[in-house]
Amino acid sequence: MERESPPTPPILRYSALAAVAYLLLDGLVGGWLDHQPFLTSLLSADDPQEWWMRIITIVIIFLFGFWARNAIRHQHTLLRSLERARNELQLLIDSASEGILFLDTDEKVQLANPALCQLTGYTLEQLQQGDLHTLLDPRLPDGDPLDSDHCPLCHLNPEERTTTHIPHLLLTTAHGDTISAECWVRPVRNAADLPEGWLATIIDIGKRIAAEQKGRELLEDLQREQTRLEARNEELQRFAYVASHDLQEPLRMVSSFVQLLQRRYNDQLDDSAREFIGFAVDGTTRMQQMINDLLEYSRVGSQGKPLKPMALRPLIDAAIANLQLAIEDNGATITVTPSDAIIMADESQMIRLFQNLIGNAIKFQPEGQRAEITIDIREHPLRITIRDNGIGIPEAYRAKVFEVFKRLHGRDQYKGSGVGLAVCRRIVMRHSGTLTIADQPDGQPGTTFVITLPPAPESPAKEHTP
Amino acid sequence: MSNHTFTILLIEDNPADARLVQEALAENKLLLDLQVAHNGEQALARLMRQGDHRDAKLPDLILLDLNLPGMDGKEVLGRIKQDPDLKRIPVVILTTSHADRDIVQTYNLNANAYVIKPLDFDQFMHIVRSTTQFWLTVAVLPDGRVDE
Repeated sequence: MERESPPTPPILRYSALAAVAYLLLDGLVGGWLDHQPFLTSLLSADDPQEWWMRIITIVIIFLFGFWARNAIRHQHTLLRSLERARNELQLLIDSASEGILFLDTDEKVQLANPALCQLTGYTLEQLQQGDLHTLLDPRLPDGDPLDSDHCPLCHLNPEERTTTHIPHLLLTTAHGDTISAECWVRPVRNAADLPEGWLATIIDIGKRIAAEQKGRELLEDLQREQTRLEARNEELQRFAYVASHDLQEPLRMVSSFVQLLQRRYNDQLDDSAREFIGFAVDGTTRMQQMINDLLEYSRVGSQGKPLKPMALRPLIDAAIANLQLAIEDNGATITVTPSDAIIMADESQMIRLFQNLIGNAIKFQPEGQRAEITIDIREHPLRITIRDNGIGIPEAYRAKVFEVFKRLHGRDQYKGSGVGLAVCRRIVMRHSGTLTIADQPDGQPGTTFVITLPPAPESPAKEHTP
Repeated sequence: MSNHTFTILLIEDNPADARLVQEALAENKLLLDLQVAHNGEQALARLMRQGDHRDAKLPDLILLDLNLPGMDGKEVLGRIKQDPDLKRIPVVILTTSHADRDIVQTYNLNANAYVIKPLDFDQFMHIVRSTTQFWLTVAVLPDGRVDE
């Protein structure tokens, strides 16, 4: 960059200005008094009135000199701050990580910062001597060359007033490498609003493009994997459904004919034969139950209905109503905290969830004990705890009880195939929630299930307000 | 009525299932002639009195399984209900399918009843007996020999 010569020392400027001021005043005041140069008349005068005049004149000269001195000092300060600003600007341009290029209206390079030289591999001199478009050879991202008259980087439309952003341009470096660049081209106009040239900012986006490409590939991989998983999941669900449905047929034959044998030939059989048939019938009945449960488990995913916003409390009430017989048999008491929480739910699945959990709380009680069940609903975030006073679940089994066909007790003790909690967890997962077992407060006996659910996007009551 | 022999055509590909129906009906007090067709083509040939079935008597009731090899149960049903001589014979669908689609489609094809086979042996026996009993002795059916 071109530098101006250092400013003249202030004392010289002061003297020069004072001399000019003196000569001006000398001519003016001298002429005004008696057509004599002032200095001569000042020395030769003896009239007291003139003395006053001369004193006033001297004061004026002094004041003028004082003003001039201040003016000069001010100008000097201005010049120094300008110099400082220029140095700072230079430092900024030199240390910028973006390549900065200034071209004049003849499309000649006036300025190129070190970052730009590093980016392109060219020195400032090389850029100034050669034709920028030929040197950088800008191309479109697909590799198509750009006509030099239409190159947004090297050719400026003099009418253009706004910054042009070029998101992706391929440039050739001095070493013959191709780099990916993002450029901003800003027209520069002088005070008279005439074009002076343009300022181009260029950054290397090779790494970003590579990262974006990598990201896209990863995302595609992920999407492929997800599609594959979804297809597999769907296939598995279909398989579980078809298998359990089709398995029932031959099982029904085994069980039916064994029972037919028992019925038709009962008096011809000995005790052992009758016992064997009993085991066979029991086995087929259990298997039928398991297949039914498996069907129910697979239906959570395959036959679910779309989730809709609905009030939570009526779902719990419906589950309790479905369990009325068991509740009366056991003499169970159930307390539910009032709540007007709204959730996104598949109604029948949500009722099934509460029915399974409350049903378990009634079922898993020490012999003869009445179930006491507390259902607590907290909002923000939605958290439902179902606590009972039953036999509880040892901590070591808290994860296992959610597995399909996982039972903790003998069949003769508590009935069931061990699918209930697996179905519950699946239902909650389908509702994007969690189902866990929490610690009992103060080591009290019983079990506490905790359900968390995402809130409904908006209240349906508000939605329907006309 | 009591000495009248009823003819039932059971269209069922699984011999074990057919036998089970036969066993259930054996406990009925009705005089029954149970004929079994193991696929749709065989059933239609019998109903249309083609080939060896030239002298076959038309059944009083048809029990139809939906899941048949080759021509499926719904197609057989459609053909029966489009035939002017066969369409008034009651057809009871006897199946393990719970699918809504099957229920709607078969009723649209003018099935007379849709019965799901119970998994439980005793219930199965009971359902087969009571269904046939209803169609053969409770419901009044047109006499095949009288024209409209």
